[in-house]
Amino acid sequence: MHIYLPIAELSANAFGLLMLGGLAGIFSGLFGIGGGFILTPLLIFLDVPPAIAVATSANMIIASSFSGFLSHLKQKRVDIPMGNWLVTGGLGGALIGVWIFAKLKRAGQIDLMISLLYILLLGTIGVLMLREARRMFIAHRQKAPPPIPHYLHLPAWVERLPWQKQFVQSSVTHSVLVPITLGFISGLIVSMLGVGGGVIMIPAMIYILRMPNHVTTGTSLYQIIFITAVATLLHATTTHSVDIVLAALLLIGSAIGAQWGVRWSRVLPTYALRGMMGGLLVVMVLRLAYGLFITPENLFTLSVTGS
Amino acid sequence: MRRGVTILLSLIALALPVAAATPSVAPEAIPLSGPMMADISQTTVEIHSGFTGTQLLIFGARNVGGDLVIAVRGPRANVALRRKERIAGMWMHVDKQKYFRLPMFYALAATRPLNEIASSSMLSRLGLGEQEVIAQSRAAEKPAFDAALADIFHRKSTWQEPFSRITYFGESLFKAKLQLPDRLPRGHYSVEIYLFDDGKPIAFQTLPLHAYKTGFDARIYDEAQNQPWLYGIVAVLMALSGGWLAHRLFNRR
Repeated sequence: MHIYLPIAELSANAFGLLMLGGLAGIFSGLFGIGGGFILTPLLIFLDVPPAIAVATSANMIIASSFSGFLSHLKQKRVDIPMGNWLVTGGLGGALIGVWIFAKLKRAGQIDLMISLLYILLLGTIGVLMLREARRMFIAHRQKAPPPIPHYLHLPAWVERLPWQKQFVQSSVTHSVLVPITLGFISGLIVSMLGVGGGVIMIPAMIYILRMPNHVTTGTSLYQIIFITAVATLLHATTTHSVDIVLAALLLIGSAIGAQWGVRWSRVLPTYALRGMMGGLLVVMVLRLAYGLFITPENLFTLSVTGS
Repeated sequence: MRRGVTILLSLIALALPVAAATPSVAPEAIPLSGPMMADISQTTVEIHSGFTGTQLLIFGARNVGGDLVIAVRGPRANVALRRKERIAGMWMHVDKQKYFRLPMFYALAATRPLNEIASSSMLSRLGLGEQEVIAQSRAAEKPAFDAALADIFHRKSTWQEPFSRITYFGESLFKAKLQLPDRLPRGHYSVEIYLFDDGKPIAFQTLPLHAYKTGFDARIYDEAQNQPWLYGIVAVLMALSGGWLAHRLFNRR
């Protein structure tokens, strides 16, 4: 069944969009990411203009994150205070990121910048996660206790920062400035890359904040809800690029998919989850790099700048 | 927008040495006094969800001999065209050209090649011919960009030159068919019909055409444009309730 998307101005298969949303939702519930980094390129591939793909993905991610968050919350697997500090920094970063995005867009180099940032960031994180997964798997096979993750060693002055706070749920103590800064950097990248930021936030929670695995997914989803809600409002009011019909179809699929993802995340061992996510990131990066180096179909690109 | 069109039409009328007709907004009230009279099969195009394009018929009659030129111009926009080049193995934008107030739709038909009908200065004054349309909006002279620009619009069929033949019935009646494509830009169009004799336009008429969205899709589109805050809040609430509903459905005990 084909349905017309009023903002994207094209017809698309409604069933296909439901499936696409479902796929993004499964990843969301499973890994605690929004799923935008899978969905946005697929929508662009379906001829949806990039700006509309980014804005509509943000809108859809609210649904999958909220769906997944509620289920994690029910099992008390969300560190709400930590999430709040991350959101505080994240919103600041997102606003500044939007401003940088506009500047780069005017210079016409935004596509390249986004691709390079993606490759650098996701590639590094992906490889790190795969290595971690391998170590965990070996330990599992040898019936040894799971290895301690390779935590990122923060300089000593970080521990002396003011406003130290104990995060009971995560059983860690940090100055609130640490999650604020992490949130800020993540928000900055989110608004420039157009994704929910879970891909960056999850590794940051594990390797920098040293949060235990079981709370990272839910806490990540919690902060994604806020960031994507603000992003949706910003896109709707500045670029008018949120396609509500497209978002509705995608979010039905993704909200349901997220529930399946949460279920599977409880069953699958940590090494499998980490390995799957690392593998996914590496595949995405290879695909992006390929796009940068092959000769484009049309060397000229047209963009409307005003009427 | 409508005011812009009226101003534009007035300018065209002023530019004409012999203005046979005063531009009029209502196509029914054509104050044509002499050599030519024309009309179009519809003055509005409804772009609904199943819109796959439509055919516009342009027809009329003339009393005297000469050459006919029909030009259809759509809504205008400023655009930027960027060129990619390979640098260190990667494809990146290296150069750009701006075009101001470029018609997002443009179609032309004539009874003979344009350069045989009128001098290039006359064609330039009236903005007739793709070369002229481009020349009048480009920021700088970069021929490679102009060719690529025309190519992009041709592929979408939003620029067509010539769009069809102008056929005659007997000595005075004429008609031409314009196929409007599925991705027709929304907005105000003008259909201009010129009668040339000896290199000069002796009659001119312009007819307005309006392409707009209809139905549920149009309402959503309008809301997104006119009530962006409300639209955004509805979008967020919709997503939140979708997420909550899915959670409830799966966690019922």
